[in-house]
Amino acid sequence: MSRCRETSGILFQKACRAAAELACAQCQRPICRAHARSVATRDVCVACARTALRDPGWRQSLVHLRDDPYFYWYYHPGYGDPYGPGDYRLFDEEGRFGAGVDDPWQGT
Amino acid sequence: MLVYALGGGRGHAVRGSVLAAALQRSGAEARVLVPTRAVEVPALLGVPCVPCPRPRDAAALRRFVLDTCERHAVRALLVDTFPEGLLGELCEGPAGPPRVGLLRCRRDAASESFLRGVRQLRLALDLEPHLGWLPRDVAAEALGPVTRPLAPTPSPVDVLVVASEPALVPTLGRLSLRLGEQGMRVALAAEGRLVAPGVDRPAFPLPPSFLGAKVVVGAAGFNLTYEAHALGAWHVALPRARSHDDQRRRAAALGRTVDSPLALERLVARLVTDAGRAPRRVDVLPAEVVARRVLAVV
Repeated sequence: MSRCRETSGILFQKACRAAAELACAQCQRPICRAHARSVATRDVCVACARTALRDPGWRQSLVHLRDDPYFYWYYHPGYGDPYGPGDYRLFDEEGRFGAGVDDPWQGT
Repeated sequence: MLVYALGGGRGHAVRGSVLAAALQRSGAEARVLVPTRAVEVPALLGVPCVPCPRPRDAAALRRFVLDTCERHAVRALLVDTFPEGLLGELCEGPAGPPRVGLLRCRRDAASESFLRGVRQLRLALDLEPHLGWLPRDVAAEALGPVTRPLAPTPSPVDVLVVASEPALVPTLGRLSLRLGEQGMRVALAAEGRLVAPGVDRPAFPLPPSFLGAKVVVGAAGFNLTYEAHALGAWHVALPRARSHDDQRRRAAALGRTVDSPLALERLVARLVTDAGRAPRRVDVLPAEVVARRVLAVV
């Protein structure tokens, strides 16, 4: 079985050592499951999904990728304040201190 | 000896394993009690462990702890953070072996269950006396924070960003990318991996060379805070809510805090560009100091 040919990483490019399990429906490269994303019911590689995200017409259809680590930064506008409400919430947890938010056994 | 390192997250397992390793180096037979989900921590640090499955209730946990003590002929129980037991189980029923408390900052230090647990200790060691968190009438020996052995080595990055829990990953991922775009050398520890240009490895344990970056960004838990401090890194802290830990107090004492993501980005850039090493505010001790003190008592 061939090796996954996707090189996209979360932050940096690197070769993937996993075995390929399918082919990207867009560019036909062999890819592993971890590098496959569903776009319009087709399995495509991360690089092709990122390309699709740059097209404003596709953006709304790919909102399921918003919390995917490979796509976080594709959802910031790139000008002005690049951080969104979710980012600001991290700094606005005054009221949560003192609350029993953890399961003592499991933690956060 | 048995080091009781139960608790949420992996911080207790790390601290407990480090202390058990120091006890072993001092000639004592020591193992660490950790939740089943954290067994990889003592394994990576080369310490024998007793995995503890999630108990049904406090009584079941008490039975498990006492059975473990009997099975391993434990002469002393070193209890990390929870002198009363994680579920309050150590204050009920048979006393078991003498206990030494390794106490770190807790928001509920004035609670009756905590104070009751402290009263039953043979020795209470305060690992964070500089935070002034213990009530005045608690008899505890001021010691100081302990970490695993960390040798300072040149860092391959300017900034280490540690997204130790899922809620931090999106924001700190964006931060990492933007700092990289500004020309800084950035490493991101997230979702179990440590990634940097040319580096992709398991995040745990974080290598001292990365912890010794100019700036470390992350939560204000015990281990990250003091490991970064020991290596002279600026700690830009994002204190996180915890049921017992007081990360806000620790961050205020040792780190730098900000109130927005853009302020965070600007502060990190300023520290990387303009600042020297972070000032030493507290001496971080090798775990052998605790081991020696414990062995002198039990």
